[in-house]
Amino acid sequence: MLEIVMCEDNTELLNIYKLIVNNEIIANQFPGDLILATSNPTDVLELLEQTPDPENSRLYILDIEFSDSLVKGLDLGMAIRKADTTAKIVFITTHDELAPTIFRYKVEPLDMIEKDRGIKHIEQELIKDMHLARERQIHPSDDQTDYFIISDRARVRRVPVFEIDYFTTGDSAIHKVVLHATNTVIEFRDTLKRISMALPQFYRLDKQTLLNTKRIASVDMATDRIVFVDGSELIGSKQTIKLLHQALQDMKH
Amino acid sequence: MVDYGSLTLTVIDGITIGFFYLILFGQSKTIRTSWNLGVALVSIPIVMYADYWWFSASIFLLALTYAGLFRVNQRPGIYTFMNYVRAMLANLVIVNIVGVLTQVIFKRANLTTAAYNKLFVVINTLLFALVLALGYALVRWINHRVRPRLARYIDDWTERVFLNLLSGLLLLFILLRQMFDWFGIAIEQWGLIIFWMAIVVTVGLLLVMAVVSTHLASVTREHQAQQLAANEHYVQQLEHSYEKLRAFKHDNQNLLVGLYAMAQKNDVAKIEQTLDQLIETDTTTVSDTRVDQIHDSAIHGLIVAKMMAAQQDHVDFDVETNMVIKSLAAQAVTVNRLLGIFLDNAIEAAAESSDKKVNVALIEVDQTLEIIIENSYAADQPIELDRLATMGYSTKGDNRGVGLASASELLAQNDAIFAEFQVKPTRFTVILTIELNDAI
Repeated sequence: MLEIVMCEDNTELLNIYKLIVNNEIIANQFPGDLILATSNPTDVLELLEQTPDPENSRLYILDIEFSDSLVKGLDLGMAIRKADTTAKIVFITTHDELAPTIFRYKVEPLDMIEKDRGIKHIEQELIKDMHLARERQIHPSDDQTDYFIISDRARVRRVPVFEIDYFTTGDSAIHKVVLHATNTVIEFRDTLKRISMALPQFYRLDKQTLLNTKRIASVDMATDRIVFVDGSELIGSKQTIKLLHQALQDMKH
Repeated sequence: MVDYGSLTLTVIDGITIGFFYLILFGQSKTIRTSWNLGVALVSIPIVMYADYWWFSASIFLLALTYAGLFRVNQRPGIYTFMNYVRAMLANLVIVNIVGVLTQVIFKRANLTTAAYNKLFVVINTLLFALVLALGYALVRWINHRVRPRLARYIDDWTERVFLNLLSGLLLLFILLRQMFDWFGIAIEQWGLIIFWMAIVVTVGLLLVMAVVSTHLASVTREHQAQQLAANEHYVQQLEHSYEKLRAFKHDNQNLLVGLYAMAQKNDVAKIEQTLDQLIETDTTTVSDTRVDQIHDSAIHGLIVAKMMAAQQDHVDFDVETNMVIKSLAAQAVTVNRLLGIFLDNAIEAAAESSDKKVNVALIEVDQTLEIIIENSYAADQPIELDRLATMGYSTKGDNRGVGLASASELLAQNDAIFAEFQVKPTRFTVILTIELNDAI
């Protein structure tokens, strides 16, 4: 059962969206339930407060600007994302308000539908998104994956542990750690000590490096280089490379 | 009969030269090549011998050795002469401190240097090592605690000029002292020497200030000229947009009048057709870039300048911001430098791609400013993330990466700005997270 929430301050449009959704549920037996359809975004915020972690992830259909309210679509989207990391969010908006980059990075919406292209277009996209949301609900991509979580004031990031190559740190007075994964490099505030406690299977190469032995492709003792499965390289000192090599041999037995 | 006095001095001299090389090689990994080490080893006995004849020969000979025979980054040492100056300076300071300390110890213990030569050498060496270690700890402390704080107010260039000039002056001072010793000028004349040195130092400092302010003035002028051009360009674009908006409004009015007429005639079919047409009108000709929301004048100016640069390279440059971006205060200088570097890279990479797109987004939430820079890049120029993160890396020949090397350095020394890089199949993204109002 996919719970659906919608918020649109133009009552005519709100009715049209309600019609589209209910039609799909009744006529095509879509397993959904429209639990809230309102023109006031604070109603959605209240719903979030009362039921913050629903068993099924919800589908939220939102407008971007609410003329009678101080709450903006972006704030609403970010609040929903913060409260429910698996919520599917769809924005319906005019082309001018799109600001795709911001929405993509801060809210990660399922889709953004352009109002300007007509009711037919909205109907098509909405139905498509309802089915897509349902698909994602039944087959969530993150079943058994182990994630390393980075959270700061701005947002929460999850990186699958099996994609992390290594962590490095620089000046000890600046408490920054850098995560190196296949296609991502992330700087964040932390210490290698705490990370190695969270990820005990990682190997502490030296004072500034913590690496994922499972991602090592080869260790070259001649050039003191560690090569990972995705091609990234790390250089160590003769001493630490030797110890690493030894540790890897021990792990095999 | 072996002249123990001379022998001791020679041994101490050798140790001093050894410690000089220790400091020199300890400064940077690039100096530690086998060629340089070989040159160093060979030079030690030669310099020791020269010192036997003229006590201060080592300073000049070592300078010549470093400048002429050393190879740093495939170039003769003369190009990186400050390495020598720093090492020699540190060495001389330590030598003098150790010399004084040794004499104090021996006086207190009522020993004479003649009778206990081996002891003299041992104590001298130990003191040398001790003072060197303490000096190293002091330098590290300054680098870790003091410099990051200063970095917010003094930029790299000023810092380097100041330190280099200061080191040069100090070295000159010590050299002069050695030369006066050699010429036999007595201690009584110290007052005169100090007086002249004070004048030299003051003149030196004034020179530094003059050089720095001239440099700053020329940089500011250049910057202002660029900014003016960019602002003009921006205003032109705004005026252009406004013209288009007026035209659009005019057309809209006409359509509405037409609709009214159709409504009066009850011509529903025509009304529907006209409304459809209205909805499908492409309004993308009006720019949705919201640069006006950025209230920090430095960032606003920078973005406007980059917009112009992007246009010249036929790159589509979009700026989004949903909130009013306030002034940055504490982190302003660093953020502007980082932003400049990453925007330049983004535009350069996008210009080489087929999509030619750069998206910039600024979001301020919860005392944190996030800047997202996303650009398209050419498929045949893949980005190697691990090298990007550690050094100045660029796919296009040697010097382009310099900007990124500076960015890495800036990020490494700042604990309120965090960077994130993402490589996707057709897009490369840099996300800067800046914590505002951090308590110093």
